[in-house]
Amino acid sequence: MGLKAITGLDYIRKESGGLAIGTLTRLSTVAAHPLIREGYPLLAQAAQAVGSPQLRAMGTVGGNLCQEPRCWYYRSPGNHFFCRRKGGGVCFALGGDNRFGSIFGATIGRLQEEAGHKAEDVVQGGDEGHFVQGCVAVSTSDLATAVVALGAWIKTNVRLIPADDFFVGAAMGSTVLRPGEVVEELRLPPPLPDSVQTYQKFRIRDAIDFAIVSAASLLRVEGDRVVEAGLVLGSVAPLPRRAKEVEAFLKNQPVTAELAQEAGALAVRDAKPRGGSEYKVQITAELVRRAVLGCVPHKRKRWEEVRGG
Amino acid sequence: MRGAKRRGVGVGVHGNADVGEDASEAQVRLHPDGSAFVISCQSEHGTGQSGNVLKMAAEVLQISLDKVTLSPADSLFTPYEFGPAGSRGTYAIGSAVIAAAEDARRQLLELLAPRFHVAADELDTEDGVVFVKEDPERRLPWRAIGLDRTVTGYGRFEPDHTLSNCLMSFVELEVDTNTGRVELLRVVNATDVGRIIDPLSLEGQLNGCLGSAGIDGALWEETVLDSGTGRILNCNLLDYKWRTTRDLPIIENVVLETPVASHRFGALGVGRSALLRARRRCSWQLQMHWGSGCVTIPSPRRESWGRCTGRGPRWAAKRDAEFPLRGSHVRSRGCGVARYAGREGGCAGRGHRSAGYSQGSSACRLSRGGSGSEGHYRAGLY
Repeated sequence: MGLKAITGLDYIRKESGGLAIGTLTRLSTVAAHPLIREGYPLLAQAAQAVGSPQLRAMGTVGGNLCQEPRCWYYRSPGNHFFCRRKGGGVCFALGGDNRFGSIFGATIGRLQEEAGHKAEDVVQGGDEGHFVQGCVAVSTSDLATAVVALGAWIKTNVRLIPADDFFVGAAMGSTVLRPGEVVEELRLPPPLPDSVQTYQKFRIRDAIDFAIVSAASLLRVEGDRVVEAGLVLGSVAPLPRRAKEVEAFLKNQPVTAELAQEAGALAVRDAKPRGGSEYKVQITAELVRRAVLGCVPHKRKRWEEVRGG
Repeated sequence: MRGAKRRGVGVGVHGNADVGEDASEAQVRLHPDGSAFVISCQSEHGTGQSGNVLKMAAEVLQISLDKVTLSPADSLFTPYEFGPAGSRGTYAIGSAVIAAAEDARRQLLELLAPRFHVAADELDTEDGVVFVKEDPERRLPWRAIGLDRTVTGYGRFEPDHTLSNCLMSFVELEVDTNTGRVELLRVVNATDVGRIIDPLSLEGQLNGCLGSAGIDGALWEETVLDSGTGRILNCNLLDYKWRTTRDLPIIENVVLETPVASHRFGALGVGRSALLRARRRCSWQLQMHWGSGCVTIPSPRRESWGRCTGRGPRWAAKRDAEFPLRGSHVRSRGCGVARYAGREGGCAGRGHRSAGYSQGSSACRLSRGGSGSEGHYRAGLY
């Protein structure tokens, strides 16, 4: 259902020290807006990374956040595959071609009402041959990864939800939105000074593709030490995955090449790829490593030059 | 060699003798008002070839291009036409149209020769006016044949596999060994086309064939079948990876013109030379540098990603055992000679693809006679 006819939901304004972004704000507006580029470069980079210029001109914040995950079995025309996400009993990717699918487990709750706490919904791979029948389609929203890393809130017509709790790992549905509930606004906290924010999107065609692996990183650095780390991985799990172990590991550590290497390895320690997604593990580790290395002052400057803002 | 990125340059050569494959027929009809109509079943498929045959007809008849039109491509009333394929448009279809135009011209001059009391070979025509070569003041417009008459010439091209084209490509690429991602930096194509009929469509062919068709076939394209049901999983242009214009590398084209014994304009076709070989050469170079068994670099399909960890061929073999279905392309495994699914033309407007068509060895033992100015090109392949 298209909501673009509704007026008045397309705005970016300061609010309570942070920012309020209307749900129908176009992605190209978000990517170019000076308040966002200065205060929340991670969000601007993520919005800029979405799709193609045409898609960014038409796509909205709300639409991107609430998008369904991508899986070529789920989206096969003619409904050839009646999979778990559609209400069936089988995940075809688990026995088939899962090269773009999850490396951090599957969802087991079928409906949102069945889904418990979202962290426990997502079950790890288990032993070979005893893989839980769940949905391994990945969350591919660039904004979702970024807003979780930024600690944003999502305001609907009913409630205010922290981004961390907005995305679920239910087999049917990707968010906690209930019937009749609509996203109205994205609320960002006050901007973090002295933070290195990068959004990396690894994909085949830079011009248009969805991410194969993406990493949103928000690192507060003092001197050469990481004071606080926020690291969220996208397209590797059914929902944006906060790399909690890496965040804890990086706290108060001096940034070195070895630290970056270990952080990368730690990020994928619990990965259990299946059905062709093995290669994603190394790419994920590499993106995490680069995110951490991007904090080193001389590397950070080069990084910013390369990114070009 | 430090750091994660490696660069390499590869070169590939390809030629094929398909430029003269299959038969073509055409008719050219002249009208009293000085215009001409080309009747041919060649359909426009995005390369602009239909405009080129009009150029050739106009050149033979010495009338301006806007006075020549092309019939619809409908075999109900057109003579036989195999169609534009295998780079044969310029040579094969062109030859048929040229022959038809020459036949029409001959008939026209023979028809008007009695009016001048000269033999037909003493006449010429230009801009819709027939005149005596020795005495151009003696002239008659085409209208002189009578308003109730047209002249129709017929031309036929017989299949001819003695002629071939040849194209060479250099590719510079960079591989990130930590992620397996391949980035094409620069492409240089070089070919000799005999004579350029239309510079823009030639450039389109070179950019499209290698730049789009060849590179994508080498690096990105894969028809993914679900091994359980046999259904194609990526039957759309988001999941089936074709390069967008923003993904193209810098492509430079070097074109030589050495007239070829094809037809009176000495031109050859270009289009089928989708060069995977350059990419393969590159991959070999890079593999040799690293030493360890990298998994089928540089195809950025799933099997190529990931760091080179030395698992190499054994891992590839295990993976192949797990996922036997590969899609519709034939790919070579590490040998310098690659077979590939033939690609017709290069433009995106073309819907037709001959998947699974084996092109023949690209290690063509091609020998060119002399300086290439005349005589046969003997293609040792096919």
